[in-house]
Amino acid sequence: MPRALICEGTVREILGVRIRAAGPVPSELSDLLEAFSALPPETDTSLEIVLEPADPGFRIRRGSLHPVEWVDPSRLLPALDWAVLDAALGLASGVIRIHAGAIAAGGRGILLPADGGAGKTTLVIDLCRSGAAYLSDDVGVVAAAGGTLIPFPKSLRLRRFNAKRLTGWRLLGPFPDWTGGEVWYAPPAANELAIGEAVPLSAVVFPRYEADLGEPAIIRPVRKADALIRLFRQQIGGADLPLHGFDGLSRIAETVPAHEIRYRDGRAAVKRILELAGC
Amino acid sequence: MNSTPTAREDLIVRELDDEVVVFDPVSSNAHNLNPTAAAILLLCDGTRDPGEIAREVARTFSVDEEKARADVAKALEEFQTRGLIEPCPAH
Repeated sequence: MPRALICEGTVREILGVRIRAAGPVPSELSDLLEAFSALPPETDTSLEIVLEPADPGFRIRRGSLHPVEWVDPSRLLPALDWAVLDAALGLASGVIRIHAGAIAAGGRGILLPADGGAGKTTLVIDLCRSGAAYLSDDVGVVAAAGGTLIPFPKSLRLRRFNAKRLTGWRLLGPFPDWTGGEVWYAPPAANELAIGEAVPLSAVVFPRYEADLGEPAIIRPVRKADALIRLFRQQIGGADLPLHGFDGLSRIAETVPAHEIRYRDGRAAVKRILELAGC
Repeated sequence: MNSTPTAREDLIVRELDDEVVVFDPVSSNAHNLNPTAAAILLLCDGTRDPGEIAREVARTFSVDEEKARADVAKALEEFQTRGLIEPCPAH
């Protein structure tokens, strides 16, 4: 990405959200918006995030509906990341949003819903390094009507474990995280991750990393009712949907096979997941 | 406990294989019920007392009536806690 990306009047658009720098920004922060370089510019943008230099730091303004928030320079990228995701998810209509990794393999979409720390991002990275296409590391977007898995290819948000093992990757960070830890951002395009297109959702796999598991990976089917409850718990923004998205999630649970994978060996987990996709 | 418990009419019920998931639009919670609990909830139509529900459950699942009574009592208590049946009328 050009380093001149963020300068006075510069505009970047991603996921239907326009990011605009409303004033001069120090050149050393030019890299920050690279984290949002996953998609070609959108043309139909209906919400703008304005990044305004302030003294000290920056202000982030989201459209006209949100209050201005001041951001310390060291927290700019995490704050922008949150602002863009929040805005993009708010713009999306007719979709169900699930806290999940998402990949496409062999023309089939696989959703990996889990709590934070379950290993979603690690699995997504390893699946993509094994030939799968990247759709998202943290937000699975499913068309409510048709069960299609839609790309939401934001920058991957990495913890120390992944940041250290991905030698040779182009990473931005570390940045202090709101949880008190550190995060790095990995723009997918800059790291040669193939970004997938919308695909039919073919499997739901609930991952769980267990360091002391006896076998490398254990996969088992999940009952439909159990899958529905788990999906419901991982839903994002359900309050915006009729019946909290219950009908759409019910359709997914009814029609899409669900499995749980517990694993201590990521390679074994990747192999089993790709087998589900027929790869 | 109501003498003839009644499941709330606004609950959204989805049958998935032999289980039932109930969505409560008021609390926005979803509850997974096993087949016995699901059958008990469906029998809470305001016309049966717990003894009659237990007899139906005993017949349906081929269990003795004593066990069915215990299951029904436990399920009704759980439904009351989760707010899935109409609250007891004030005395």
